[in-house]
Amino acid sequence: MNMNEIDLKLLELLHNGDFVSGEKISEEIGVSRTTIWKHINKLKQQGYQIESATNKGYRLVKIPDRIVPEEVYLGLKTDYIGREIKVFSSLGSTNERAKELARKDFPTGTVVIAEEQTAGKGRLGRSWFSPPGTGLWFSLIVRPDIPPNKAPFLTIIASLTLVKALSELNPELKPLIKWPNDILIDDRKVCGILSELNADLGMINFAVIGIGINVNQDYFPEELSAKATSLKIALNTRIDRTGLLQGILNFFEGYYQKLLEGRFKEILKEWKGYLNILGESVTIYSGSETYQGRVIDISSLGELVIKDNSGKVWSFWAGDVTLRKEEN
Amino acid sequence: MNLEEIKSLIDMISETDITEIDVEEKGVKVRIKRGYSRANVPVETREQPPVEKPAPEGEEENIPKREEIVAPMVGTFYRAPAPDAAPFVEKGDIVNAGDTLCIIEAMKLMNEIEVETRGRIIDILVENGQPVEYGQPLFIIEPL
Repeated sequence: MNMNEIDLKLLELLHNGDFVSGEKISEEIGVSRTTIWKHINKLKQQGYQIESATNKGYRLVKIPDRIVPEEVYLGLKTDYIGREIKVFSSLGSTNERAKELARKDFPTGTVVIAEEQTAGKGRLGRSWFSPPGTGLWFSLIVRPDIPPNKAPFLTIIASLTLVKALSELNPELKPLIKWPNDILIDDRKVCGILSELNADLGMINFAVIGIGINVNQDYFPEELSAKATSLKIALNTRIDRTGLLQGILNFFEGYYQKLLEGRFKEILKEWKGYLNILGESVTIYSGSETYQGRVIDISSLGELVIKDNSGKVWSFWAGDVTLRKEEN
Repeated sequence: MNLEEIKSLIDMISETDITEIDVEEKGVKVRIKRGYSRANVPVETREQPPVEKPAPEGEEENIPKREEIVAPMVGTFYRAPAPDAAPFVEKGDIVNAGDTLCIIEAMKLMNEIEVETRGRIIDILVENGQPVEYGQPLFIIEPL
């Protein structure tokens, strides 16, 4: 969909939902009232609900339920995150497209959104349930000037960002982080993060941070319903995806800036506060090995530190973690 | 030795390359071992770069050059994009610049290791699913 400058200015003027007179709009934008009328009609065709009343002017009632970059830009408080947004109706995976764009030198902060992912990527090729329009699936390109061995901090700041943005959306949500990268509400997964890195020994060329959020799904397939939830299921109301995305991008820039400034300890401390795993008994599947023990800490690099039954201490940076329920 | 002391010991060694440490104090023995020991990694079997062999004059072109592809970060080494997928490369394959050789994962961050120049895979030094250290050689390739 194309928006020109007049559409954008119109949306900006109407954005707070109050009536604005045709005369005022005409003055502000500097075009005739006939032109305004044409553009209002064009916006209506694109799914905007705009009310018009004699002597009052125009009022924006509802924005379309789809992500429109121009809408997102209006609510951004960032300097560079989310300043270039590409929306696709359907993509294999947003990470794949983001990697292509990153190779073409798209800058830090570029966002790739898909209304539908046909090959949504989970860890090691697992697929992610993503019917069109219900979720928020996007990837963010970053080029942090940090050593590659600190790159896992991208996962850390992304999960912190999501926790903050969801808490801001509704304090009732009380999201927690399942180490290292899933966001849980009521013990069910609501967001996943999968990042991909392109680096050599000395530096990071680029990374794409892929984020999938279950927003307005009403149900999940039976095999997922015990493990997955959506914001709509948790809050019993439809969620505006544009507002959610703005919140995420706004919070992300703050944490990304901290990362660039090397404030790793501060980031880690905050992250630890949202982990649901400290002190819990866990079983860890790492490659072909299985470890059992209690989580005693998170290392300065974000690794899970566990103590097994014989008192040995291990730290893990990769592999699947399964929380083992305590028998009471 | 209390939990706090053990914790700070862990913090201390995670900043270093140490993978295993034994501490004994007042009859209490603590062994800390990091999840990615190098013990299973057949580093010793890797072929030495031929630079060390003196090249007979006039035969330079016949001596294959060998290059190591090393891990840019700590993590788990995967040879395929998914557990049931075919490996990215096999020994003997010819690869082109930009081809993916493997994935290293750390905290759900997937690092696809690409080859920078065209070449032949001479050896694969790490088993699928094994932990790797920063700078550890993963592949030996012969540039073509």
